Amino acid sequence: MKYIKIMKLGIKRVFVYRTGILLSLFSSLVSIFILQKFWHALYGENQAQYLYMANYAIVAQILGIVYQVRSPNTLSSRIGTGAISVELLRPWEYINALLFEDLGAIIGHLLSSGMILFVTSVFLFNMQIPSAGNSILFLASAFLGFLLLFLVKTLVAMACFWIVEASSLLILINVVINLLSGQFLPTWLMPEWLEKVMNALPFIWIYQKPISVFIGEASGAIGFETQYVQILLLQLGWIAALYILVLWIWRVAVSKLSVQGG
Amino acid sequence: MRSNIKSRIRLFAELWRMLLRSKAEYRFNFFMEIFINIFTYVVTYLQIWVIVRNFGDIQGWDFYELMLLYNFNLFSYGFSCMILYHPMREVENLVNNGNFDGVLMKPMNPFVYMLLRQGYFGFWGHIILGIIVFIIVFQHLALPFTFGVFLDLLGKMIGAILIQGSVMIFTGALSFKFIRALAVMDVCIYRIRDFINYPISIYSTGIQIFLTIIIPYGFVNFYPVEALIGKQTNFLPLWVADIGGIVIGVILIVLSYRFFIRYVNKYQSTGS
Repeated sequence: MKYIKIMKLGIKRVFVYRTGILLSLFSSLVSIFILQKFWHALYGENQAQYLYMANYAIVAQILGIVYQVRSPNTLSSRIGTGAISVELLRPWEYINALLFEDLGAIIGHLLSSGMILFVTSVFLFNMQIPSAGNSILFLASAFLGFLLLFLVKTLVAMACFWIVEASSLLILINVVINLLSGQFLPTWLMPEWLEKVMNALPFIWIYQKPISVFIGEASGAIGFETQYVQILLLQLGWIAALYILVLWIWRVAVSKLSVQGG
Repeated sequence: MRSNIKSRIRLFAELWRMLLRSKAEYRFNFFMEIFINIFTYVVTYLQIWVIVRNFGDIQGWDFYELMLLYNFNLFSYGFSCMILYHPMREVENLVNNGNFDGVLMKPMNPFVYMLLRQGYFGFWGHIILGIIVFIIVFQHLALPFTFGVFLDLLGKMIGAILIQGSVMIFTGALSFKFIRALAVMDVCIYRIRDFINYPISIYSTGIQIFLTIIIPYGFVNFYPVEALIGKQTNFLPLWVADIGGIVIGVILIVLSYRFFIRYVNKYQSTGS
């Protein structure tokens, strides 16, 4: 119950700075426009491939605008300042509180900028709308993608327990995710060695796989292919592994924690 | 007069030295900031390489030409940011918390004084990588790297730096008038800069005209690079593409400086 309250606060926080929503919307629209022209220049004659990549880029932008994972930054700065000691006294598990705060944030962003960007893209950029089955699977897959993103970033943020000033690693991980998640270039465009690296790491399950569900083939009465269910299962597998890792490191870190001063 | 300039340069040098020393206190972060920027753009170049590997070229631009194009943008951005980025951000902070009055008390041109308020040295990353990429690119271009070409490159780069710098000064000046001007401008202006990540010939004529006349980002990299390597896919006469950057750069930097000073003076008259 208390976590639900934290989540609601997270949602509210999104709507405090409304200009921020408008700005990120504008910025996403510009990006989509540029990417469309870009893929058009590359796939000029091949209309089908062009449309695929144009849609790919739009969905990546929508995910990008919704995936607002900020709590790991809060975590790293709290560790840095020592404020973490106060957080540990609160009547909840701090890691879970952070998760629900971000969950609130992404719900807020999904309902505001995410939805608006989706609708605008359908009208302005001719985005294809997936079948009902694929839509539901996509939402589930995107939610799991968010969990993965949160876990990866939390893992990086916890490096601050051991390395002072490791907060800059969080910027670094964004660049790594940009390259290895298929956010811009999917695995099949990559050279073989890089494709192997990407397949071995959890990042493609944050962007490329959910996107592939969105623009994927649909068949049958419900409108999706069973291979997408497999994607969800593999995402769950990665989440379970990373969650155990995060919890374990968290326990070790908190038991060893000594805050300087005071 | 001469001793005045001399003492001012000494003052600048001393302040920069102190800033660097205070930064070096957090050595890990200092090098991290630079490293992150280098890493970010190495990834960008890697992505360009991947694209060219798949498609051969982007509208006739091969890998090294695209690298040169991107590098013009990167280097000029990094260079003008090193001087202007943090100071222009500080203007907003100082205006919002009322401390800009203090700046006006200093026996110094407020614009020059703002330039002394540096705080972020990560842009060295852009510059270091930019130089490395220029070296790599010129080993692979058909263009021989003579002294004449070096001067040409230098002139075009100065033009690009001035254009990027003027945008920062304009936006910095707007924070005298609007709260959160920077956030708005970040998106409206810097996002537009994304247009020049690729040859602007991939866009429609309307967009190209926009990037030539309204916000002349085309003169940061596309036109100068085309003139430099002897490409002509643009609709401008060769001489305009050739020297347009530096001419527009000089005009814009003067205008933006005047604009800034005008807003500083307005700030004075509305204060207290």
